[in-house]
Amino acid sequence: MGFLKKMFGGEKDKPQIVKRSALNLQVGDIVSYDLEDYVVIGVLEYNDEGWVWRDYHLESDDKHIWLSAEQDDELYMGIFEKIKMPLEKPQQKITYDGIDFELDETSTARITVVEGQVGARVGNKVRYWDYCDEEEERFISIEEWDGDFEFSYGYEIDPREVDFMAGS
Amino acid sequence: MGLFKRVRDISMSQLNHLLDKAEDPVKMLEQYMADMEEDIVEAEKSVAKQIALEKKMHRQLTEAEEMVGKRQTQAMQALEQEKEDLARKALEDKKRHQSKADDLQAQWQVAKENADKLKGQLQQMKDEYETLKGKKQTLQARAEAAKAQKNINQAFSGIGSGSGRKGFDKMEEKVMALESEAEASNELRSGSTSLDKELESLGGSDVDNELAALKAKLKSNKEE
Repeated sequence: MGFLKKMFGGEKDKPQIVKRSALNLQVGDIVSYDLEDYVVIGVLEYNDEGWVWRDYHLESDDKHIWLSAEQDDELYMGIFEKIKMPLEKPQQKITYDGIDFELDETSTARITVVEGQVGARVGNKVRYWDYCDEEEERFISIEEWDGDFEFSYGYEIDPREVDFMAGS
Repeated sequence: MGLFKRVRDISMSQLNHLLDKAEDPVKMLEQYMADMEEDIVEAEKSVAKQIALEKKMHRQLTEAEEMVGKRQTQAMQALEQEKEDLARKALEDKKRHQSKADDLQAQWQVAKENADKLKGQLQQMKDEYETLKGKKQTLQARAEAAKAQKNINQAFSGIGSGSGRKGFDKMEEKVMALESEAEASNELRSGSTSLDKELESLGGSDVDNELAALKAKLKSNKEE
């Protein structure tokens, strides 16, 4: 029946919409978090020797945040905001907003996916330093892009708190 | 807005009614949920576009309002510097931005209302889907139980009036007939046994009688 339907045009081919998750968001999708809707305006995928994670540039009105998602033994998600820090270079211990952070890990990742407004290219290499506070609830991330340091401050969120809508 | 394309008009009670009537309720339910899932994905797309549009308009509105404020400040500064022409120019441009901001404010308001309305409908659809998902197992179990019951009933009715029962009846008749025959042959057998005995006894006396009769005849012949 399906074959005949296709032969005689009974069933029109329509583009398949892939259900969105934290690991396959695209530019134009909507992320709802904490009673706010954000439009995905950029996608970055990092790969550090097989460890893959994605950062999404989200925009709502004038607010810009980054959603980070990594599938390990379970799905980890965090919200980050770009911050300014009076640091010349990464150190073992740093302080931000009165909180002490200790270096957790540092490595280099390669950018494997770039979409929209992220200011990077596929193949770019980025050195990163991840810090966490004593309770391991707040994080600081430092990334080195072409010699410039970018600082982000964030916290982990429960994946169940986030909702996605495919925009295309 | 066309969010609920296939399933919008079917309430849960209607669905239950349809399921009760359906030949294969489980299959029907699965198809219904698959259609609903497809509708949700399509609806999400519409809602996402509407939200993106609303955000874009809000950004444009903010920009226009910022320009109104900027031109206002420039006009004041120009007047402070006694540059009235420049102040007039700034105020004219401020008016243009204000008009644009007013238009955008109205458009954004409509876009926001639409986005909220669509979001509400989508949420309602998702809630209904989740409810259905929860009920699916129960409905499936109900359908399976009904199917099993039907099979059992059919099996029973088959025994009552079907070929199986007829076969048993025939067999019973045959058995009964055989039993009758057996009984009859038994009677016959027992009958013949007694007759033989009787005949035997009868036969025995006949021979004796005949023998006696012969003996008597021979005796009378001799005497003659």
